Amino acid sequence: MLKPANKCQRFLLLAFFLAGVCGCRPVLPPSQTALGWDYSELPTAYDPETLYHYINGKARVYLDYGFVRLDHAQFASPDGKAVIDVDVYDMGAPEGAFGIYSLERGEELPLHYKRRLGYMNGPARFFWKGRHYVTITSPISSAETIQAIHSLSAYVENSIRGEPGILSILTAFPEENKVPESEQYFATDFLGHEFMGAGFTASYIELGGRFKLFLSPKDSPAQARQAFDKLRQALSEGGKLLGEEQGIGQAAFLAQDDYLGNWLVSLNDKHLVGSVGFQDLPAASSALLRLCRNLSP
Amino acid sequence: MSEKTHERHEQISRRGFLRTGAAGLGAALVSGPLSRSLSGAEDAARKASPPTETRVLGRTNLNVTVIGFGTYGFSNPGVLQKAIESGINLIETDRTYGNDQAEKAIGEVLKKLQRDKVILGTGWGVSPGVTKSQLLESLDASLKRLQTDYVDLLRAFMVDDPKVLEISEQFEAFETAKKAGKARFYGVSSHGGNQLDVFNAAADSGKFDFVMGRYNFMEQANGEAFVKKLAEKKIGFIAFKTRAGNRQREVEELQKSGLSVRAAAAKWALQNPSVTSILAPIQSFEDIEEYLRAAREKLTADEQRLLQRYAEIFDSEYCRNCGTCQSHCPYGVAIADVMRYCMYFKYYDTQAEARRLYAELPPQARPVVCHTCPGHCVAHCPHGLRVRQNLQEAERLLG
Repeated sequence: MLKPANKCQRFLLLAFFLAGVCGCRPVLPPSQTALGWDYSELPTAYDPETLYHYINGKARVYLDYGFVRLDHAQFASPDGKAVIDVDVYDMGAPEGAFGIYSLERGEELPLHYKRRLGYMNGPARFFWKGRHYVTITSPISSAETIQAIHSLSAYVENSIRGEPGILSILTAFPEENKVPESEQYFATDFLGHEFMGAGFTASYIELGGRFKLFLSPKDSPAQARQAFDKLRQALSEGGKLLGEEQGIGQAAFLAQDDYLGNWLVSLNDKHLVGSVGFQDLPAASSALLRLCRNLSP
Repeated sequence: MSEKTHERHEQISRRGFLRTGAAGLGAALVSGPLSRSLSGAEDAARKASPPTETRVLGRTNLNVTVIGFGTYGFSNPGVLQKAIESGINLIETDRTYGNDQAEKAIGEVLKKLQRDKVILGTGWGVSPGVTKSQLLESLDASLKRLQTDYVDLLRAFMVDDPKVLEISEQFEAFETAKKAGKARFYGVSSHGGNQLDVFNAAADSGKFDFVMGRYNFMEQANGEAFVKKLAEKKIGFIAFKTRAGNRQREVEELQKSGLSVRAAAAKWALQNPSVTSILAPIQSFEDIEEYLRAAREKLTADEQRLLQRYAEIFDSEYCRNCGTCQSHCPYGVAIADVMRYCMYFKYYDTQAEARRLYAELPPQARPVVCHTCPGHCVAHCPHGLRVRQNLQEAERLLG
């Protein structure tokens, strides 16, 4: 049985709460935000050095995405039999928050919670807002737990400053045939290659399957050209280069490997873009052309 | 050529290249890489490089490769496939990795390959109050995502309290799963401050076939002792966090010598024959090559010096946030906060954020008076850190 916080702890929590209100950080919900649910673990902060203690090996990936700070608290139900963990990750920038959110969500999880941010997956809610990624999770699924999760989520969501929304770069992905909410951001080793750095993907429906459009922004056209050349080299060594393509960006090539299948890769000013995993080349080309058009100034 | 591959060639040739008039490319596809079967690709990859060393995982008698695949955060399932084709046979995951996503990605790859070529592990969450049926449901859900009938290694995930090892429901559930052919061996993973207590309890209980935990050159003394004890009890040990910490800038600086800190750290861990395998955070094709090369080579004197240098830097500057200095500061400087913001600035490429956080501190909490102070903080630091010097540096960088 989990013990609720005592009076001294409540005083400290009040101080913590007031400090949070006065500062810029989103505040963790105070005790009783969900009626009857009290702290079973007092608010704790983790930094880049100590994050390992809380989320184990996942910490390495969170650090790659720009992790700055985690604020954690745990709430216990009135009977002490259920707990809810509230975790607010400051990822340093919206890309990092969206990146971890999209990495953990996957494509097929239903968006049950569309009127608010993010999604529910069992007794757990996940969302990102501004530079924060928020997870509110419980091992116990019950009506009371779900209701408490909603109350705690609403509190955290409202406490994070800024407007919810999508990253502006994601609007470059054309809407036609796109799998809703399928955009993802990878901070490193994009598409399995270190030299690719960071990049975005979105899934598209084609006859009999899906393929992905990808977009890897670079700081300059020269950097984009360098990544383009390296990817062509890697695919020619690890797969097969099938030839050059005309009319897509400044340069384009077609390749194939054993892992992701068919690749159509293009250089578009400061962006390395492409279609991968497709079976229908015209559909993939058409989607890629639209992506290039959307990226044009 | 598999039927699926053949069908894909047909489809792309018919709907794709011929329609766009690239007939020559269509011809190239027929003899392209996909015309090889996956097992052919696997054989080719194995022939291209020497076999990876395997070691016996304690009393399980499983032969596992010294490099295992840690499965959180990889963006291309092809990286996992390539790792298996290159000879890595240990894949470790957990349902919490990416909110089920890691298990699903593994399942997609495994269904293309021979399941029995891989030693697959996952975890379930054991906590007070958990029931046998909840644990078995968790395992069934993992197996469904992994698209397999069984896991070789099942473990209590992220245990930080030795008392968790006394929860009998986990053993009852494991025995049921074992009889049903869903799990072969049982273990525990831990990584936090209580790792030693957890592993000692696991070794003494006699109920665990293997353990997974933190092991690196920074914590050599403690590490050697518990790994030795586990080996004496024939409990297999899989190591993770072999590269202590994440000092990116320090690593970049040290690696200008052309040596790799993570490769050196991997070699250091594998020097101990009682370490069966290390879980490598593999995210790219380049990572596979680097770790497999590390597994084949011995730690050199230069790499040993590299690790020593890393350890010295890390140890002399690593504030554990114990707060002892804070309580002895007569001026009320927010020492722990300042040290942390300085760390953000120096090591994590978040300079603007570090300055913003520093600017939020009340003026009296900033280390502006430290140059006139004899350094009560230094005198009381139990870890011998140069606290005053570090605070003055922080003021220079952040102020």
